[in-house]
Amino acid sequence: MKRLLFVDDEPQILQGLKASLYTRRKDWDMHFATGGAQALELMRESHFDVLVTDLRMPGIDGATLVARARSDSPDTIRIVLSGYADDDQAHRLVSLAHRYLSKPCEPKQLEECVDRCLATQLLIQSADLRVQLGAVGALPPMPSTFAALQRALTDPNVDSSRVAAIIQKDPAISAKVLQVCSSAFFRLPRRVASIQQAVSYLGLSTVRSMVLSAELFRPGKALSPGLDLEQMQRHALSVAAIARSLAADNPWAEEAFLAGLLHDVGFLLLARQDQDGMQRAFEAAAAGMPLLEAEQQHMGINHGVAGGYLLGLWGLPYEIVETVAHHEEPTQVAHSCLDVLSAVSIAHALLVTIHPEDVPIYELNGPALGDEYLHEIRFPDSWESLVERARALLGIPEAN
Amino acid sequence: MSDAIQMNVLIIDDNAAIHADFDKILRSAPSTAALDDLERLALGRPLPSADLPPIAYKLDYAFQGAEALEKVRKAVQAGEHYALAFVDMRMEPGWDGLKTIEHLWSVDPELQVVICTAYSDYDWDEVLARLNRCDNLLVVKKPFEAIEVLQSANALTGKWRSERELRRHLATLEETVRIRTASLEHANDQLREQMRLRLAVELELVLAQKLEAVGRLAAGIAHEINTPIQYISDSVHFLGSAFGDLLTIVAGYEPLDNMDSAANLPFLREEVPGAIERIIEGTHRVATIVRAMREFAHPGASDKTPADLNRAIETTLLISRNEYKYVATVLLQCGEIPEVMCNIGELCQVFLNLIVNAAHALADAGRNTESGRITIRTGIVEGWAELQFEDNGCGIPPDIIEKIYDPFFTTNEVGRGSGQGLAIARAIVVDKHAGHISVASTPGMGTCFTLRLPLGVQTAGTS
Repeated sequence: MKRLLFVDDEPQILQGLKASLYTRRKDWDMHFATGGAQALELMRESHFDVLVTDLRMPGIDGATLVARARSDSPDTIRIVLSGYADDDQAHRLVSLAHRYLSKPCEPKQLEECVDRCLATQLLIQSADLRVQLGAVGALPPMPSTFAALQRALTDPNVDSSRVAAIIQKDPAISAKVLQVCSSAFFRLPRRVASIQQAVSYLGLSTVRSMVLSAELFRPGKALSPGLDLEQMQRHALSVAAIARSLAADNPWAEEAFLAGLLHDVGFLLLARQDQDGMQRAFEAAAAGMPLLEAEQQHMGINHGVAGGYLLGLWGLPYEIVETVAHHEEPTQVAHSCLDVLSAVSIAHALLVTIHPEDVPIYELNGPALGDEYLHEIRFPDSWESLVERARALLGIPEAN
Repeated sequence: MSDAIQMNVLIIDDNAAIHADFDKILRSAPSTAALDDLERLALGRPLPSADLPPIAYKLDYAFQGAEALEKVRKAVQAGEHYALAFVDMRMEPGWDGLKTIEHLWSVDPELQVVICTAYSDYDWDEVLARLNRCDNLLVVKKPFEAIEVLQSANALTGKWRSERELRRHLATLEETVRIRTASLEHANDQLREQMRLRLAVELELVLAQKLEAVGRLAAGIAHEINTPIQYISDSVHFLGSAFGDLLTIVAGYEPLDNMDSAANLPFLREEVPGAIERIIEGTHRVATIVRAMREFAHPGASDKTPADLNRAIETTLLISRNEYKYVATVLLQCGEIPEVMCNIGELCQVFLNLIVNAAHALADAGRNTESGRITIRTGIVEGWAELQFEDNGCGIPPDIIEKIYDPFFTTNEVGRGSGQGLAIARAIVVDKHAGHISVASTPGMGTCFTLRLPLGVQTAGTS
């Protein structure tokens, strides 16, 4: 039985949550606190698996509470449920909470969110994976420029010039970011000439995502001969761009972009660990075996889970970890609306349809998504219209 | 006497001997200095104008009136006017003196005249009646004394000069007044322009403060509304599943099914789920509106950022639905527009103004949801992001279409609008975003506002 703590200064909210989540009373032990102080007291007395808190509260507010929870009880999943959750998008990717939900939020959405966070945590804390991936030396640390950006962005007063200065310390990364900025996806009406401009036009979050992608796909590392780094990068960027366009104005659009850029990062990790196994897996996949099955058979792990595990260790948001882990099989995760996971999975499937040149051969027989899946996640548009949109976005004419 | 003032004098007499007399008198003693001396002798004190320069008479002669007229005309044309004419009364066979004077004055009304006559051909009254003026006229009886001629010459040329001077002064004065008036008008225009600018700045300030306040208010209200919606929604979901559970519990307990009183189980089983669905749907709608309101208000956003204009129009339509929902059906035809660097909060204000104006025009034309139409088209035209807001309302009369962007110009009755809407729209689109706003309207048919915004990135300090 999981122990959950709900915190809100409005007793009515707590009553409402208690009532609407009563169907989960068999597997959730739910506790309620009407303020930060009471919550801290409860957390001192006993351990909670999940903390769900409002942000604006008198006395100890949500941000303080989440920060305290992170230091005092790091393995407690921290979820913010607030009427202001959308307003602080710039810091969502480095913030202290695992997930942000906006009020009003339906009970089903909240339930799914908690379940998925618990599952992701399970993945990251998996002893099996730790053993499996840690077998050949230590896992790579978070790339340095991205790590420096993450640190800088915890400062609420950070400005674009400081961000630009951090990125420009690595000329290769800067060049790569500028190159990506001038690609057609961003539809910038003018060529971006400096990192600072890129930050002003595209926002901190997007540029930060580009930095991470550039660092991860930095050429020169010994790779499995089956991996085409250039193609992987094009593929990642296309998926990221489509995913973000699907996300439209949702507050998690930047997460979708980053998750799209990183969704295949597991290949890079596995190539370090088990080149031969990967080669055999690719051969099997090219011969028609589903990729995940082939990876499982020849390496004992698939690239999604491996990538998700790594990003989880780096402390990336759970939505991204989960998406990277399950993008090849989104239906394995219960979800009932368009979110980061579904956006990236759909983007991947769309790219297979409209532009297979940018999809590695071993990934071509991925999951077939379509109208049925869109209906499941209550997405109003048809698959055909999404294909059209993706074509327009990437500037790919219809094949005859 | 090289610095003497030259005065042109015309002698008109049919007798050549008279010409010689005048020559002798006026040429021999021409100076004012001489006259001054004379006067000093006569009056015992110096004249105030003692420093006047001396005068030299330049004499010219004519035997007949017609000949004299010719000379005066030529002199006028050449700009060398005669100051004075001595005119004989009888000059056979031509015009007599009076007729000659009439002709001379018709070409040079400033000419001073001395009539020289031996007879009293006409008495003074008759002369006045004929010439209709006496201010430029003296009569000298023949035979005349030299001093008479000299005095009248001096006096009348002096008068001629004074009048000239006076006219010149008058002209200068008029010119001065004209210049002063012009500069005053110029200053006035500048003042008016400054007042207009100030009004515009004040408008902008009012707008900025209003937007700021609305933004803060909207974010606060959104939070306030979202909190009860959260627990309404949670509680209703609970009621829904609880009702389901309740039905499971009582299922098969037949007496309840057959109970026909105020509480009727089959009816409840039928109706309660629908009622719960309606509440849930209602909370979704409220939540959507609240979100749109927050997006519309954009609290604190004063800089230009990349924004989706189509999305902003959709948001604005959502929050202004109340304005148009009884007078129009909205047709939204969005073309593809890339994100545009703009202050989207301000542009939303412009869209709102145009939509509300259209709604008012439709209401004035008596339209309803069947007949009223607001068509909004967006797209890229000639390298601009173009947005058109067209209605089939009452239109704008041609005589006021020029004035619609003036601050405070309004045809609204009190309470309907401040009259600042289009002035603000113009200020935001043209002044702040380097765009264009134009209007086409046919009274009785409708109005179409076209906005154009530059697609190019224009941010300060990043060139």
